[in-house]
Amino acid sequence: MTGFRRERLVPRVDWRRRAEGLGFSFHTSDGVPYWDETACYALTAEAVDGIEEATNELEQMCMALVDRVVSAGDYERLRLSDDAAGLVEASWKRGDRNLIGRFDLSWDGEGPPRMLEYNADTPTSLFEAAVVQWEWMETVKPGTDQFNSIHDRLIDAWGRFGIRNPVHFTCVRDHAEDFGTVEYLRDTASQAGLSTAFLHIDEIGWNGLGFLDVDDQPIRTLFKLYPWEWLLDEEFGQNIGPSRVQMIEPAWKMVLSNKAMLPLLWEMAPGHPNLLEASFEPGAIAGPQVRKPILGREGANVEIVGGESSDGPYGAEGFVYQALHRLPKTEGGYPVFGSWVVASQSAGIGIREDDGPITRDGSRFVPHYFA
Amino acid sequence: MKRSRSIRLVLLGTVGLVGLAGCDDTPVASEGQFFRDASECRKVLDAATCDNQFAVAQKEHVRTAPKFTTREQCEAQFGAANCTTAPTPDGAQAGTAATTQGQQTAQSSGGGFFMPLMLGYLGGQMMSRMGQSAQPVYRDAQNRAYSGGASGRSIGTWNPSGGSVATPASARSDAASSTRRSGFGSSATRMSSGSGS
Repeated sequence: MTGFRRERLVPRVDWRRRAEGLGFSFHTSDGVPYWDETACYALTAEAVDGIEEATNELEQMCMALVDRVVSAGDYERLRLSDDAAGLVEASWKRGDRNLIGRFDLSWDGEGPPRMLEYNADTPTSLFEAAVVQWEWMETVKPGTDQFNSIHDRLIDAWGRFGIRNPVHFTCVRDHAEDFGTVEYLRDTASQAGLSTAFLHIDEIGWNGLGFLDVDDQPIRTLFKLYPWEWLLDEEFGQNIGPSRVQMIEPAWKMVLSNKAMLPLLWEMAPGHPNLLEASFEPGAIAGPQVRKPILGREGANVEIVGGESSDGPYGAEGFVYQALHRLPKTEGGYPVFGSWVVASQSAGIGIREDDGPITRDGSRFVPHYFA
Repeated sequence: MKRSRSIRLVLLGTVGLVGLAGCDDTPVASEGQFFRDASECRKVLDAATCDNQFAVAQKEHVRTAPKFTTREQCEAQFGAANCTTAPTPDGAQAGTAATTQGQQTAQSSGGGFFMPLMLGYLGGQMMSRMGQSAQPVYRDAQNRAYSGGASGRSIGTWNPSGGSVATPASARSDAASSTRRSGFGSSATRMSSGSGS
């Protein structure tokens, strides 16, 4: 028996008003709904257990991989600079805590879910998964359940961080989705009793000793929805280490947000049922494969070798190759299971459908329930 | 736990961001408050905390204050009439001071050091909560105030007439006026995209 089925639904007439009432400002993108409740996924309880187990297993392997990389000083294959490697090592040895990550899993409802990649540094679609689909479940499928403890776990995780107030939150300007994600996280931090402040990434100040916010107050803890490799590539990047600012996600996430981790994981745990074979070498994998940029985002510059591909600005750092595991095809397109970890614990899922086999930022969020 | 119990949003949603913006007006936790001595501290804090922190700061002062071989050297940095003789190395505390301080000046001479007067100290409940020790504060010849100890840094300007340090005793440095910005964010512009994935 298959672990999920896709149900067609009539959207709630007032879904836009409801979404906006929750503070979900980016429910529509370029005139097309991003939040899509013309359908939902119904999972079995066994399916939920299976995804949870696979997610926790993957996270454990990822932690083991960081430890392995740091112990061996194996930074070259990850294309990490000496500066980056130094930050990774220091943050790992200090035991810097992490907050969130999202595994993208390919799963057809049977057999083990397979990890396509790990969005370990700057994952989005968090607010939709944690809050919007929850409100949907309570009104459209009352009495059922949802694989979603993201919200509770976030508040709990903030409380355990041992953070010195305040926490600053930052992302780029004029980007509703990034801002919405950051504001949601800021909300959960404040519910955990922390004092918080937001500033845009370009507003961060540097005075020669430390980072300052717009009021010239010191930034000691910074949640940044901004890739580590970008930070380090920019003018203030070299100041992060000396400033001793506590970064969330921590620098060691650079090992995992990097697609070179795919072949490294396969090297560490070859044949693991939740992994796909991966290699740095083209042609090393028998059968159909996918080429992915070592540093890339939102499905850009991905090529199914000999088939579909996506364009984008990435790829300068090189590519890795991963055995092709096609997403299942439903009448709504190709669903990918985004499986969340909060403080390294499996916390719930958000399903996105794309018209094509490579999930891009134009994919639609489709809610789920289980019974 | 596979499901959230209930979801309540404080900043987002119908409560609105604007309505709670006031939360951010609460004073930012600073490194500490400046007090001249324990009695000034007692006006705002409990006596036990004040006495304890003042004693810690005084001890730290003797242990870590910069030591100079001549009064002139000391006054050149800290101003006229702002230096005093350091406790002699024969004393228990002063002996510790001379060796742990480890400054060249201290080691190159047999004793008779000079050190700046302690202007006051950084203390307060926030430092206490964060498990940080009180720190002695000095002023230099230009009336800039510095905290001493291992984490010494500029904390503002000493106002001799008002008897206070002019800026809040946060980690604001005297370089704050030359704060530079826009050192982050260029990649997003270059990639013309958001940063999420």
